[in-house]
Amino acid sequence: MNMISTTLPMFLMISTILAILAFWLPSLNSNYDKLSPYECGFDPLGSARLPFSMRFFLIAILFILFDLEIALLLPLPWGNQLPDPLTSFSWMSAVLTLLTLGLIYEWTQGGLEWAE
Amino acid sequence: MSHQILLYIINPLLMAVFVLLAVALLTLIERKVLGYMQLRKGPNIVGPYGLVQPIADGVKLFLKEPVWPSTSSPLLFLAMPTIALALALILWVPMPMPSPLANLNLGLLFILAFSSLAVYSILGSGWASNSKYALIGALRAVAQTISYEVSLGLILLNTILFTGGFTLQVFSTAQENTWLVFTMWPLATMWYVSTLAETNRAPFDLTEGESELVSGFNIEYSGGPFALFFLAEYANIILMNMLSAILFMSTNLLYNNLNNETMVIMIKTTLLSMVFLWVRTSYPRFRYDQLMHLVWKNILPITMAFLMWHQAILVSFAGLPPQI
Amino acid sequence: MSGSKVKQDMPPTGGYAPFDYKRNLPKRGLSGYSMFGIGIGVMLVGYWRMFNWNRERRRFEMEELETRIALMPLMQAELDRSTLRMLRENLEEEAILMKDVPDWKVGESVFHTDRWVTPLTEELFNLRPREELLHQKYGFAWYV
Repeated sequence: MNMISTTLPMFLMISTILAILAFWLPSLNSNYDKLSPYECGFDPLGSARLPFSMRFFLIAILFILFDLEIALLLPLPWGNQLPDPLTSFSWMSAVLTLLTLGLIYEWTQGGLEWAE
Repeated sequence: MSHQILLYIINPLLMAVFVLLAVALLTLIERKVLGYMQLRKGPNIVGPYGLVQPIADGVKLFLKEPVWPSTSSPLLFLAMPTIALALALILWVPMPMPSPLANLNLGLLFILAFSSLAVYSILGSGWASNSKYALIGALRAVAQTISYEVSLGLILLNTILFTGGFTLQVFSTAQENTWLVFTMWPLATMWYVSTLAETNRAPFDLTEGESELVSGFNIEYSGGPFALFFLAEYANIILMNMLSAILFMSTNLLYNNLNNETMVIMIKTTLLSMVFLWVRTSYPRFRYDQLMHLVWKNILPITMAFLMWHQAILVSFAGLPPQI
Repeated sequence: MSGSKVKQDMPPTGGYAPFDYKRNLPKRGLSGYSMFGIGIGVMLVGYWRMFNWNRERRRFEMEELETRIALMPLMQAELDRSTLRMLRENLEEEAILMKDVPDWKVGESVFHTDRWVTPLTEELFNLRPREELLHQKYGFAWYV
């Protein structure tokens, strides 16, 4: 028994109880119009799952790259405790330089432009 | 056994209750502050000075009929607000105020990991709603949140270079002499802006740009499930401000007077949250391309440069922290 | 017809004065360069104080390690003492439990060696409260 393994399910339970409460307390009186998806007066038909934006996908890819970089750099405070912190410094600068080059490439190729 | 129940059941429950209470009062003070900044009064009818207003709001939200759209994916639709609130509460577990619920060794990594998980609740709710507004709102919210997460992570890395560990208590000992705001105020301001964007607050609240997206990813949610999203959002705001207070303006550990320290850290958190509200009243919303340019073209390169610089001066001036 | 002459509002001769629409912002406060300089100065002072404090923390760390090294024999002796005492208690309990079994040698080693074999923690803390066992196993882990 420890704190994390008890609090995680407990907090999940609290919010589940709140969610169940939200469907159990009020009186439900639904009809077809109420349950149709929200659209401002135009045709609610047509799938909402088709739209796909290359821009957002690109941002997600970029995020993965940079987050990976952060994950690589996270052990840095331990690396600094090595007998020779210059080693960790040079490795860190190598990683950062590579990523900076990547960012410059992305920038010059227009991957960061939104308005065209 | 009884002390175990006290420790593992009552303790987290108490914390959840008080976090939710803080959220309720934050919504009240937000409306009050917004009101007074626009020369009106804000809620002042329900209870003295409108103090019972958030309770009334909560009761109203939970008594309203929740709509479960016929086209939505039923399970995911209900699970996402639940998970959002659960994650927002779980994030509070390692927070040192100054005694944390669970004294995690790598508390900062825990917070980083779980705050990244919150993206899934946004994406899932937008997708499960099966509505175009919700989907577009969710896409925007996710792109914004993950972009700013990169800068948050890098700024965090800068601070831990100075403090020497991912344990949140280390920040107290590391800042006994100087606050990190003074050492790295450019990064502190960028951190603050990134927390604004990470919690989807104005001026970065493009996820709910009313004029074009009505309400963003939570448009199909009403009543109780919406209340869960709302609670999660505001709990995250308080948490982020507390994290800023700990990271950049940490309090000394006063072992003989821990209550005093709790007061001090709470006052700092409240002041930072007030600045959130002030920003909301003062600034117009960003355009989406400006938002993305800010993080990818300004904050990210500057932060990477600062990381290199800090590591260099720490090593060359023998200012490295001890390993704890 | 002179009386019917309408007196019309006209602009004054030479026209109106130009509108005073331009905001007149007084030049006050510090100039940009000096604010920039103050910012850099604050950072430098911050670095200096932070480095000093980090060095001081390293010294504290060294002092603590030295203290631990100095205390090591004492701690080891205390640990050995408590281990042996618990072992003795276990053996006494074993003698009481096994007194009806013929040919039972109390405390017979299960290992083919004469060297000291540290007993398992579970075995050692068998007669102690469970909290003590948990504390022994997980007590020094920071994380819960």
